[in-house]
Amino acid sequence: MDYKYIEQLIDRYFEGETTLEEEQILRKFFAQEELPEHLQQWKPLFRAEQEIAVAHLDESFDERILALTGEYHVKAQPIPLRVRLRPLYRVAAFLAFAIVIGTAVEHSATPAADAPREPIAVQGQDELDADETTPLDIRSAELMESDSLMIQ
Amino acid sequence: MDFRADILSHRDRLYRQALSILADAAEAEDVVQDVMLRAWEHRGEWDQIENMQAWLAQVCKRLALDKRKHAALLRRTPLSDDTLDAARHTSLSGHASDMERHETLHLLCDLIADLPSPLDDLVRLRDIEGMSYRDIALQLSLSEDQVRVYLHRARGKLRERYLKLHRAGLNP
Repeated sequence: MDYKYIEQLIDRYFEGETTLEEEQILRKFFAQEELPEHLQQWKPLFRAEQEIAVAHLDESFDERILALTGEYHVKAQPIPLRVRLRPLYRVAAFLAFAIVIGTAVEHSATPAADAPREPIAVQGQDELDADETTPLDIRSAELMESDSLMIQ
Repeated sequence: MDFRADILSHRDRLYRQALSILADAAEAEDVVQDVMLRAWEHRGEWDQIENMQAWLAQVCKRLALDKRKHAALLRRTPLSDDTLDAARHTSLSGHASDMERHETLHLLCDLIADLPSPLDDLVRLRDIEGMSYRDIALQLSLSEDQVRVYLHRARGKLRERYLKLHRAGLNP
């Protein structure tokens, strides 16, 4: 077999005179299993070029990067605080309900304003203890009440 | 300017650039991740970057070369010796083809890295990305004539050094 054409291409390649198509021909030629002895020495070079030329990353890389950059984005927003408080919403809702009922009872039952407030606050406390939730003082309960109302 | 469309879309090109400097897939991927995060940190300045692809390539090259220097310091051996060690190792191990591939990749990366700038970039863009003289000229801010002259010079050096290393590797 005549390798004049390939030999010529190799020479022109190292002179920097080959076209992109000719460089592609060289890489295809050296990707073959069977090569003539005198051209073997160039095989590693063209195969290494080809190996890097077809290398690429995959979708999982994009996902990782977007997750990493997305994280920065989330940090700028106040979402994590609300997420952290989410387990307490039920407690806050219960307390809000208790206060509404308490106010209603207060209005219908007796004109004395102070009387029902204490039993109902104690009732709320009992409920919390039964749930094994950390006891909350009235101030934080009021804070959460306003928080939950804002979110709704 | 959109992160996914204008920056993340360059990932494969950057990966090949890093790979052609480091000859190691995992390290090259780390470098591209760093490039992406750095681009994200500079998101306030995207509009001032004229050629995003060239900007990313510059950051990628700097990070990859830093890593390469660091790795070379750890080895504390000249790169050509290292290549010869790999060649000797090949004959001892059973997986000759894998080792051969690994060795060859290192050899090509070392050869390109030894070229003075911008000859190294030029060879990468031409032989790995398959870019035209015109596109290479645009990316490297050169004229097409300069690209032609530099490529001629770069390939001449490559041939000379390749033959030297190759003969040494085959007949130690």
